[in-house]
Amino acid sequence: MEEPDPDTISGAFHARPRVRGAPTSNLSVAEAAAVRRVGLSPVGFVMGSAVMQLTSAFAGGGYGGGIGLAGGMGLGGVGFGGWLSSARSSGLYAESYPCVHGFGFGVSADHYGFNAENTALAGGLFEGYRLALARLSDEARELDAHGAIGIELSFEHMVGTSSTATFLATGTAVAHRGSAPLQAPFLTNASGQNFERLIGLGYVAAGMAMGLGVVYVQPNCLARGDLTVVGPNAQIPSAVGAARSRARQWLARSGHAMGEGVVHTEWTDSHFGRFGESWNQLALAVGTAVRRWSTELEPFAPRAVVSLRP
Amino acid sequence: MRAPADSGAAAATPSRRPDIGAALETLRSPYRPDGTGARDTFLSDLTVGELILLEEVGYAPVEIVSGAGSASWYPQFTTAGTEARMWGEAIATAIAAARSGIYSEVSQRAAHGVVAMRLELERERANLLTCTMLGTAVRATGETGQKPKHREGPFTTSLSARDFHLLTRAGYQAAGIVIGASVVGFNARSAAQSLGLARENMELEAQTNALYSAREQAMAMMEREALSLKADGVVAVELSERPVNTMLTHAVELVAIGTAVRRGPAGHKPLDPTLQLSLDDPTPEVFSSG
Amino acid sequence: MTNIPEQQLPADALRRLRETEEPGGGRLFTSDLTVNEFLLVEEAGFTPLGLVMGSSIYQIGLQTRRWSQSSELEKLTQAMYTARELAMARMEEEADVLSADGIVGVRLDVNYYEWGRSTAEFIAVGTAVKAKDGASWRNAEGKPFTSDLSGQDFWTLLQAGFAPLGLVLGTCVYHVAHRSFMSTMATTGRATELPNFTQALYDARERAMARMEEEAARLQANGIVGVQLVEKSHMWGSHTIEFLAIGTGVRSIRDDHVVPPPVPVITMDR
Repeated sequence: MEEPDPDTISGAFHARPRVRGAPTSNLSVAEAAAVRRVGLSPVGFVMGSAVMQLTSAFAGGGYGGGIGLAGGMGLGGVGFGGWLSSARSSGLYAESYPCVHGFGFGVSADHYGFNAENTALAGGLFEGYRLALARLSDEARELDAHGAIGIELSFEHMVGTSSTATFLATGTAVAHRGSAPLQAPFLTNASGQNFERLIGLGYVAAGMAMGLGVVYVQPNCLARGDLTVVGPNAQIPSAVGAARSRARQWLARSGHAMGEGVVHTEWTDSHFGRFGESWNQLALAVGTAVRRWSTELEPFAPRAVVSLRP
Repeated sequence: MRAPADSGAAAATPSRRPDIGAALETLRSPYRPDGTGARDTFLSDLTVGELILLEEVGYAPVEIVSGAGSASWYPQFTTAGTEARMWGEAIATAIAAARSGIYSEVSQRAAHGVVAMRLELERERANLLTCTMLGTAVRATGETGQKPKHREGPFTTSLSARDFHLLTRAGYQAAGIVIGASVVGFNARSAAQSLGLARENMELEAQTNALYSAREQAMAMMEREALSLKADGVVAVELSERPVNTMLTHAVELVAIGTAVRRGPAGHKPLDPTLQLSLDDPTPEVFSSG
Repeated sequence: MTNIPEQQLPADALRRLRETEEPGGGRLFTSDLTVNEFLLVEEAGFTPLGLVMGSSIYQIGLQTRRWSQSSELEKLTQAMYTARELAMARMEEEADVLSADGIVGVRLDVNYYEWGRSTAEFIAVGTAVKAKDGASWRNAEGKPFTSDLSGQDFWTLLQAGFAPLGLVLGTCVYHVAHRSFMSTMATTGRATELPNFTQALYDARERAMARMEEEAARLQANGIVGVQLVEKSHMWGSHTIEFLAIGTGVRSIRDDHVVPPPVPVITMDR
């Protein structure tokens, strides 16, 4: 077998010195005990990462000066109202928030606002996570593991840029000694203890389900906190709601492909890519898709206790 | 339990203890969705522990559901009393709209109720009230042998999965979240005149009675709702008071929220808790920052 | 302390309490106990009757103080007592309307609202309960017992063979003298005890605790549990402090106070 080239991703993994019998892992003592109780052994700390150049359909912020919309329509050629209705008719979320003072669309970028679903950015983010998870899964397979538990996902902007981000997935690979490896290792964000409970409930983790929603927000004067007007600010809650609801939709779809349900879902709401006063509102949902392996198990029968406080 | 040793059955009854080998075998065959579509995948934001607690009392999660409502009133008041009444009505309207929104989502998913519901009442600017509700819709699986009766419509509760488990196990049934609200206003000028100018330390009877009254009204409204659900009681009542200042009025907004429960025919089923003494200490820090 | 005359409950309170009576003779109970507390109160042999509360908006600002003297401010002490006693008395009256044996989970709060410079609202809230065994649990004064113990502590207390008698409290509002300029200059830069201050704070705490113990003695309590000493300046500035000692007086209901040994546990969840 040829020498692994440490400058490639898989080469770097192979070049890592391996000590027999002492797998690395980031499990706590109690977590390792839970993993062993369920019949698995930790075989190594695994991770996957990717660096992506992300494009925003609304790069540069504001409107009027060369915004490229998903699909390549320039704003100048199509009126804003026309763009709104065509976005909506293709199933995307888009909403305009006119200026409360009455300034029109073209007059002032500080007054007219809109929310629009940013599918280009969502696609880029999803691909980054997907690559990171895929590489983590490859590492687990190299170790002959049956799955990886305690998976954590994160992304960070690279310092000094607004559109380059690193995606990282980490976890602990686990194996069932004495049985053949699976076609694809199972992946779960559940800890060792929670994985043990899932098995005891009759479910087995199949894979990570993920949903993402991104809404570009250009706030109108009211949403910028202009104190000269009175009235409700619906723009920001609406953007957060739309991002979450798209994330939920994709979470269900991705879960449905792998199992009967999604459990242990973790939600994050964040801002990505500020351009002046505008930003992308991001909602990320990550959970574990599960399949039933038994419906005949003993109930847990948790015991009621009163703790003596110190 | 394992099949008895002397059973002549050809196929052993499946083991009732967790078996990782059997679990992994399930993953060897590819998953084939039964074609009913993504809508029937259950989604749950519950932790695994919460899932267990629900299943042990015979419920399974279905979906996250939510509802929102908002109401406003126009600050054209002449007396503190008028504004207070309109404000109180706005609260009731916003809550009713949020509740009916969440009920319709629950019915669409053929679920029986909502657990771990978060309720938020937010005031924006001076006169707009928004109420949002978000929770996990659950359905009764009937696996514990007791099929709960849901004649009264879906229940909503802000109880956590753990509290819901304990109540159900002790023989109670969650009937629904019940809410009462009232607003008491003190006209700013008269408040300034009467407060802080007495010569002695003394009770201020008018204000005491007004605030007392408002609090009791909020509680009474909540209790009436519970009675209409044919409940036996309301637990985990939270009475929150928020002083609010508007142009003419110093007001206090009182909201009482609780969960209405019904006792089962057998009354309280003993849980017989054991006393435990934890040997845990906080995790020691290996590297502590200076 | 002084006897509070019979309180007239506001009409709304009476109406609310009566409304909870149901046609079949039952009553809708309400409670701000958590679910854990509610279940433990039932396990202990009591059933909740209703949330009871009492409040009083009291002016508590006025007493002149001598700048250079440490002393108790008796008028303010009296005001703090009276305000709380009024609130508690109304709460106990509500419990009486419900024919309760006692009140658990009592919370004593002080709310400040913007519209009163030296005014605060004193609130007492608790859950009225009735014993399922029909025995009388009222205290030596013939009133329902009160206690600030949580549901968990209430259950544990009964397991150990004690019953609550009443919330006991003692308070003392003390003015701590300002130091003169000369004496401040004299001690700058040196680590030294300030015996006057030490004595003043000792004095105040002792008075508060003694008054709490007197209340317990009047109830013929065997002991006081859950004592807390709270020190607050409220709205008087930092040299005037209220020392409040609060606890629950208890009596023994069995000769032995043995409980089954608790199970030691370690969490495996981290």
